[in-house]
Amino acid sequence: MEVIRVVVNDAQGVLSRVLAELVRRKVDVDKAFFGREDGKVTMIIEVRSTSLNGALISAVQNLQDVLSAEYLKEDYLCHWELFPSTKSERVLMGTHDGGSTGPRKDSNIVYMGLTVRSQSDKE
Amino acid sequence: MSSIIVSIRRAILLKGSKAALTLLEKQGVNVMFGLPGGTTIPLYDDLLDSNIRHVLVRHEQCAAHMADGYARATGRVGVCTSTSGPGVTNLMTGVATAYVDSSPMLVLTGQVATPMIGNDAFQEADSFSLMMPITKHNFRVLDPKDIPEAIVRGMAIATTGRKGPVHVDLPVDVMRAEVPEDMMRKEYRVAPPAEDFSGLPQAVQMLRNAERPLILVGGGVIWSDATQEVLRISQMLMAPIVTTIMGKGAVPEDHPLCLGVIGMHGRECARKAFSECDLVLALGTRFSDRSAGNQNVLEEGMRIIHVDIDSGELGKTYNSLVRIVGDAKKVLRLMIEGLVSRKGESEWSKRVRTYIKECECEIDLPENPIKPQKIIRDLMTVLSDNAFITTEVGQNQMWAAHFLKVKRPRQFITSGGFGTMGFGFPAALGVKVAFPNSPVVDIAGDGSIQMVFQEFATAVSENLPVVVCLMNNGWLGMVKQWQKLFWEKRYSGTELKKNPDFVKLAQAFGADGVRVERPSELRPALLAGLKSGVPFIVDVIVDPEEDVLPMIPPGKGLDIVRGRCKWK
Repeated sequence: MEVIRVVVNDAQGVLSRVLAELVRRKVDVDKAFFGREDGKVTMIIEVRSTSLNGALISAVQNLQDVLSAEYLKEDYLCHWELFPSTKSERVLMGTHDGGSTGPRKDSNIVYMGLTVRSQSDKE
Repeated sequence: MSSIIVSIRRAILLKGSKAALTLLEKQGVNVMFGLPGGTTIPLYDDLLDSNIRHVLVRHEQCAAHMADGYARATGRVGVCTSTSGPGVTNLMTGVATAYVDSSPMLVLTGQVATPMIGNDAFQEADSFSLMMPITKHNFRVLDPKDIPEAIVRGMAIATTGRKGPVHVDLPVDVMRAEVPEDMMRKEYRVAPPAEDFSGLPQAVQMLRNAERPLILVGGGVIWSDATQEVLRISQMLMAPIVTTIMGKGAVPEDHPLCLGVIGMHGRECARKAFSECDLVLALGTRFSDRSAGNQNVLEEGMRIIHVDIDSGELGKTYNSLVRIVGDAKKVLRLMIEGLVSRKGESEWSKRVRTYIKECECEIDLPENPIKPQKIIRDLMTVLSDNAFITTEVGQNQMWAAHFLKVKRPRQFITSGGFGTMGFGFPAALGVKVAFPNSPVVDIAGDGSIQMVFQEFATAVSENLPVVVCLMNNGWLGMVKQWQKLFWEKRYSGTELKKNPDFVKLAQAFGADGVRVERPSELRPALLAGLKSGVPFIVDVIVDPEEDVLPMIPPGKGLDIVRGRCKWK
């Protein structure tokens, strides 16, 4: 499993285009999280290992409106976390430093997604 | 007073479809290939008042191929259009063909009105998603104010860096709405392609030290207009040049250092030199599985300097030692500066000359039934230097790629990567639109031409007198060849029984033609076609048992099939 961080301009179709490019190149996408901020979107994408490596990153970088694309270290994982205090969910991107159930150091969190309203909030 | 107000309003606001055409005209577009439908009526209405010529096709796939042929022959963007839904899906094969061969196109499609999108409306397809994996970029314009950006940026994206098709989806209500004039004057920029020349010093050093250098030229060299630079560095290094099918014509094929096309059906001298060189300078090529990649000619440990404008191609197929990201012409000029001195004649250059001599074979074959090689030979004797040759896909394409001596870039136009049967004839029509005074010949097979034969109607109505040189063997010949060589002659689904009379069919469209059954009739028939001044088919009945050889079988470890080829 590999984790790719792609930062793109918040432009029409760019998220689909990045995913389509991965699929076109026979890369299985396991999880993908997007967060919008200041006209940019950060995409955290977990993919199954690919032999394309550098060429894949270059291919993604060459798409219009993609600002950067990079592999993150192998020990990064994506997490959904529930924040009972706010009744909301967050997407965290961090090292697996404390084990799957252990505490996670803030300094090791490389990306924290936007707060997602719960279903009850929407209603 | 009211008329003054109206004229001011007209100056400020422009209808969406009119805005799109105005911007295309400003970008130098003078022809558009297409077929209208309900959602593109606004565009076609404004075409009546435009300087852009419209070529009405009989099938949208051919609109894309014509735009592609136009682009490949001129180096400019080809523009095609269709209505929504089935119009778009019909276009797609042509768009994918252009995408794989990096040909710049702007594809304008109609779409159902914005309130209807997503409701499965009549003739609605998700064109935006369908086109996404086969275009360099695409726009779905949901607001008329976004039309200028889509057109101007679209044209720029198609021609910047690695070329490719750009799709603009225009809902009918957006085309009918008005575009604020300030949006028409706004500047839209596209970032220049990334460059990385850090490997250049090492590359120059390797080229200086190489004993047996070889230059592999791909289609990127043609788009980069780097012919002179390739010839210069080849002479400085005394390095032979081999080309991919997309690079064919990038250097004159009668040049003493040019070995011709490499690949599955390439020339033996090119394969031999490629397998013996100690350094490959690969320019604007992606090492496709049909050319230089994944073949048994690609030796383990071969040192490669790979230059490509698309960083995604470097290291994708083969592990090159030095990777340089940039335009071939620019990189070659820097390399030439770095090399400074010339190498003289070497053992290697002498050996290569021997290979070229040994690879010459007789193709003026007198036998009956006519051999396809004979057609290529006779064609070369009747075509002037300003002629263009397109091909369909299959045996006809490989015979042309192998034996035709192309003199200049853009002279030979073929669907190299996508391998689209039915490409050559409409592409030839696109070329003829761009170069009405040049002879244009499509080398075709009877399988391919039947996919697009209806475009004789377009050729006649638009006065596009191209010559279709049909190698008619009654089979889907390339598939049959594989069944013969690798599937124990178990022919399944490949015999084209009850082919029509192609000459009569062409005549039914208002074109003309002649059937050729003897070698002696061939040259006069070709000359008659070129002089006819109307779309013309030369229907040549060829030997169905003649295979395209030599051939490197797919997969490693199999012996090269040589047949008539005398190479030892």
